[in-house]
Amino acid sequence: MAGSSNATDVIERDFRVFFADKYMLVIMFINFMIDLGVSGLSLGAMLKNLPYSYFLYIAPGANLITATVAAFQSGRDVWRERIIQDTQQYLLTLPVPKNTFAASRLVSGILRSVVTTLPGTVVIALLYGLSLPYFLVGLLIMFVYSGAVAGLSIAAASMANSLELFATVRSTVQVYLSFFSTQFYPPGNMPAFVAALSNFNPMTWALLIYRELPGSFNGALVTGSLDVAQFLYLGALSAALMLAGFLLYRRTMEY
Amino acid sequence: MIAFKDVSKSFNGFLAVKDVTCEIYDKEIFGLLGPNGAGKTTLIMTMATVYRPTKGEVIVEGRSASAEPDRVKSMIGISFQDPKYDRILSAREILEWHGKVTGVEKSVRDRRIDEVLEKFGLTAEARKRTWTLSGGTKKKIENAKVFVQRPKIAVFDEPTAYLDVPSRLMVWDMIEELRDDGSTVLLATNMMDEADRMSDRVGIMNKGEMAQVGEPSALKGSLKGRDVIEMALDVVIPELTTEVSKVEEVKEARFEGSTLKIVLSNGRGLLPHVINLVSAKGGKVQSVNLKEPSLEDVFLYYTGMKLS
Amino acid sequence: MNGKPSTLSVIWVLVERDLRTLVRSPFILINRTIFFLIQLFVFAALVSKLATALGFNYFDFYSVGAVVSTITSIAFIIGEDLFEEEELGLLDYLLSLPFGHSLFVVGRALGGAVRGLIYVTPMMILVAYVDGYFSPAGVAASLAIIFVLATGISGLSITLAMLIRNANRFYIVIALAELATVRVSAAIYPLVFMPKVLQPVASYSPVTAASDLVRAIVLPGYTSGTYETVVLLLFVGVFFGLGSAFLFRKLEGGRFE
Repeated sequence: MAGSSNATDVIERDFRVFFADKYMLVIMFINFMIDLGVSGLSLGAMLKNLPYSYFLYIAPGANLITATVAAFQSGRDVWRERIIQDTQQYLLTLPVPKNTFAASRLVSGILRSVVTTLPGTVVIALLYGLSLPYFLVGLLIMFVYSGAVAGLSIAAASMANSLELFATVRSTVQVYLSFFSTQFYPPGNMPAFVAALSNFNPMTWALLIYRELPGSFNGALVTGSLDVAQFLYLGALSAALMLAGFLLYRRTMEY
Repeated sequence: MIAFKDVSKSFNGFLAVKDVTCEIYDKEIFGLLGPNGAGKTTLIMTMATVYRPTKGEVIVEGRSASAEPDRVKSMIGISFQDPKYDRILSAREILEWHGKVTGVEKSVRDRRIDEVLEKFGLTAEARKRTWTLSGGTKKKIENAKVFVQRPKIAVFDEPTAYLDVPSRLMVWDMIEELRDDGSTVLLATNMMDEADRMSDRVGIMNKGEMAQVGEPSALKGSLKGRDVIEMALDVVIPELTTEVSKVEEVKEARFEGSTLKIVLSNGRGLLPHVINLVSAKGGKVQSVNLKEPSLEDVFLYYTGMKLS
Repeated sequence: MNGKPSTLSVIWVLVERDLRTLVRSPFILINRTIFFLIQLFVFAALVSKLATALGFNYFDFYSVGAVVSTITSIAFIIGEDLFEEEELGLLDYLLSLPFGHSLFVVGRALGGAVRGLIYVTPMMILVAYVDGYFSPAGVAASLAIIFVLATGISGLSITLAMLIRNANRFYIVIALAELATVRVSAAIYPLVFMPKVLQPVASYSPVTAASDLVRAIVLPGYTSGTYETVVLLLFVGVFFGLGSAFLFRKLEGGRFE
């Protein structure tokens, strides 16, 4: 039994299911453009008094929100397989080692999210005027962030036996990621409890790194505070959430 | 061989399978009979390493399902009672993926998929999203997964539910072909005709327990005093009931109208003797009907209930 | 032989059914309340600290928009409910019951709106209090406006549920519709700050109309006119009608996918 081919089979299935609708990518991109082109521009026009472009400040967050929606689909798939369609029983009878199976779901969640947000990542790179190496750094951020959200969503799906609970956890996570982060306001602006929660938010760290990437148009956002520790912190946070997702998903399997 | 050794499985205190000990031999079709909720699917899932037995052990081809779940799983293919696949995908996509993930080589896989789709009359619908298809068609696709995979151990859970008569016959033929090619087949059903026709041996489950195991004919034969001879005579001969009742294996003899109804064992063997008794008393036999116990009678006897 | 139920009793039965799900889902009720509070006391409070040069109180402006956008979001759920009912085979049963299909759409849209109203009533009261507005009649009028909006949004959601046959696509489109409805409106930001090409579109939005009508009641210095009322009522009428039309189409054209 070839472990790597099992893993690609599982990933392939997740891709087929997610992109079975050929308009999926288009719809997700439209979502992103509404967020950016409507809310971003409107709030940017409203907050012209700031020493930097508020539009450019919140722009990467719009793509990260799209990544959140896409990566959270992994959890939704897992939940529906377990609770509604009972497809999980079939999947568990297949000759795929359970660890490989669980890990592959996480990987497919990340890949689906990165593919979905690729157009958005390109748009942000153009808005910021990023060179190719920094565009690739931006892409890496999307990978790591998507891992965090995929892990979180699969963890939630593995624990929730009711739709209400899963929907509640999903919206809680999305609110936490958006409002308890630096997506809309700088850290210096936050009351202490919001700042404390924001420090554990993968969105905060992803945005911090993104905004510091030296591009042609985002100079006013760059403070020069970027260092490796921030990447490591985001990576560690993501790894912890992915591990939680993996372990909790494995716990739903009796073997 | 598959051996269930004292297997029990409970869910939150509810004992779904209790102390099941049973063997399934290589290359046989083993019919697993039982009403809804009898524990058939739970037992199958312990073998398929989806559920871990609360007690006991399942040995598949010499390997313990608990100790070597991945090895055991690689030998098994299951067609579930309710189709379990992604409804957003087409039949061909489902079968291709299933064949791939179960290790069927591409050229063999493609050939088998084409053959199975053609046999089921699904070639034209092979690329349609399965949620657009009828219940019977969805069931055929579920069965098709196993026919493409052709595993060492094939499990069919209610394989002909929702199917029309020609499709049922087709599926039965294909299951027998699978067995003839070397697979061991576990056929879970509560359709008596299916179990009777298909099974080399039958296991009867009820309320989580394995009530009885044996060949269908042997199980039927084990029901003493269950044959019924119905003999329509030209005239009622009251003393005939006394004469017939003297025969050792006769349990009961009575007239219903002008029909002599005899409940006995070994009806087939005693029929000539009974006819002689009737002739000796001056009666003329107009018609004879011999009813032997069915599998349903066997089930009723061993479980004390009727199947739905 | 049973008699035919009256129109009002049918509507009540349908509304009551949707209200039961509210009672059975305390998580969601608590959840949405907390989210609203976070929107108001975290997002709006922090953004208004940045928006010091606007010339108006952004917190007050946003607070009304937050109530309107919350009920919009809740009213969209009815379409998801219908989609799930179809998946579970319940919709066939509901449509086989002894009342017309238009009545079914009306009942479900009202059910979605009543549910939304129950959710947001405490929020509206809080916003009025925080904004320094204390008239019960005014609060009641605001709730009535929000209720009318929610009815239309429910109708829109039902229309989408009838129109879109693909489960994966449906959930994404509903999220998109919700996003577009709220973002392309004056719920979160005044129209004048929106991209010029979108301003005319947003000015026709029922969410804009509802937000402006409520602000005119609750906040000093805000006015509105007949125009907003007409927009709101037209929206409700259109989406009730469309919801019914597409329900009939669904029945004739085949099942959900």
